[in-house]
Amino acid sequence: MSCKEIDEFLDDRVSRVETSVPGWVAAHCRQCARCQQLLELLETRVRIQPPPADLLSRVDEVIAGSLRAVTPLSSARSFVLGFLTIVVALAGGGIVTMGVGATRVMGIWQFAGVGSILGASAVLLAISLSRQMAPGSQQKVRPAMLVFSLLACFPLALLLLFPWKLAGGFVSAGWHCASAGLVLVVPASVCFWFLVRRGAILAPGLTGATIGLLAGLVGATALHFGCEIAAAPHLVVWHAGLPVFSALAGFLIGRLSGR
Amino acid sequence: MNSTGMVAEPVPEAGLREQALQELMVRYQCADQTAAGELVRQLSPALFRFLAGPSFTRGEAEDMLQDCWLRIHRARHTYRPGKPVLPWIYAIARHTRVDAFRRRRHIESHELATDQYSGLAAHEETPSDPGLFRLIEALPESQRDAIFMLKVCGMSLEEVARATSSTVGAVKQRAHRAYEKLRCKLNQASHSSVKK
Repeated sequence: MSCKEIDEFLDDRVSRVETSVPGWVAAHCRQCARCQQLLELLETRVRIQPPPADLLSRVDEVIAGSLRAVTPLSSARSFVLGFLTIVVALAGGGIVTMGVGATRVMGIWQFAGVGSILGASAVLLAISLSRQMAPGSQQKVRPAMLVFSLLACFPLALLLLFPWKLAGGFVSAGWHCASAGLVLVVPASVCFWFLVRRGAILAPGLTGATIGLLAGLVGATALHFGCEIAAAPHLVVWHAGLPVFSALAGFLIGRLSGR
Repeated sequence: MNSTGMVAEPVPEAGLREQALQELMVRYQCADQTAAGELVRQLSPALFRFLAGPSFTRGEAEDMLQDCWLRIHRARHTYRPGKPVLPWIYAIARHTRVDAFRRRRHIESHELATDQYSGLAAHEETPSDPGLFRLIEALPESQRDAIFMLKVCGMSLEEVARATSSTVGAVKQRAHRAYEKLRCKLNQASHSSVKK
């Protein structure tokens, strides 16, 4: 038996309930002083004076003073649907406004590839947001890792799918796209925030970044349909830059409001 | 009984306790004052253990506990009946502690120390306590939280994963790294005591 197997054993052991160890663990500990010491350490109790009774009485009084019945939060699924409805509604409105000129200049793989990434990202972020609202929710992917991964994936996909060519009017054309996208990002952020605030926002910076990123993707989706420039530099800077900017803005607003 | 003479006290079956906590939470959400008081009474010792540490004075730990309960009270509607209670509670407690750290760091960066302040630590190390608390506190934050919740609070891997917005695999990895660090520290301590 190895120390790694002792680690696995410790993962499942509730120290203060079980008072004896299996034979193979005892045998290993007779030969391995490090594991013996570790097990003895984890078996001992941490002595901490309990909180004073008057503190608990004060907590009771504060709670009693504002105690009223509350309705538990709706299911996570309903919030996911809510977020995605906002995405579809606002992105759809943007597409109707900007048109679908991109379909004339993009290949089917380019259009479908970016569209898939945008769709999948929106779904993952909606799920993450719905779980961030309820403390202690199961997270298959850590929210911070999800945000960073998507911020990296989107520009990378654009770099891989589109040719690198600099078109004239890089800044003027780009600014036109960015401002058109921002018109959607702001109301999207507000709508998402109104939903999210129904829950408990424990990490305002992270939740703000997630909201910002999702709102940025709304703008990026409308641009994906409407922008007729199919060049990697333009798309990476002005289309993928929109979610980056809005995620950063969301993070800063969240951190400042959480103080 | 282990070699330090400590006896691990039996605690109620984890499943039954969780069931009781879930029932109390539902009644709390329905504005049952008795249930609220019972939750405060049952969970406060464990929460205080979680929030306290050598880096906090007893007064600071008590303030954090009060702050934690206020947050729990404000967020009580976010508990979904039928879901585990402890991960929900400890997720809020963990952020309470993180916010307290940040607040103190912010204050300390704007203040000049005029004298050495050594407040009473929230915990006592008794002669029979071989410094578990001190050893755990020396670990990186993510590993410390994992070990504390697993071994001191008695939570399962899944409960810890939920409380820390993480995955079971990540919690296991942190715990295993912590076990290895604790082994090294214990080994160093026993070697230095032999040299003495």
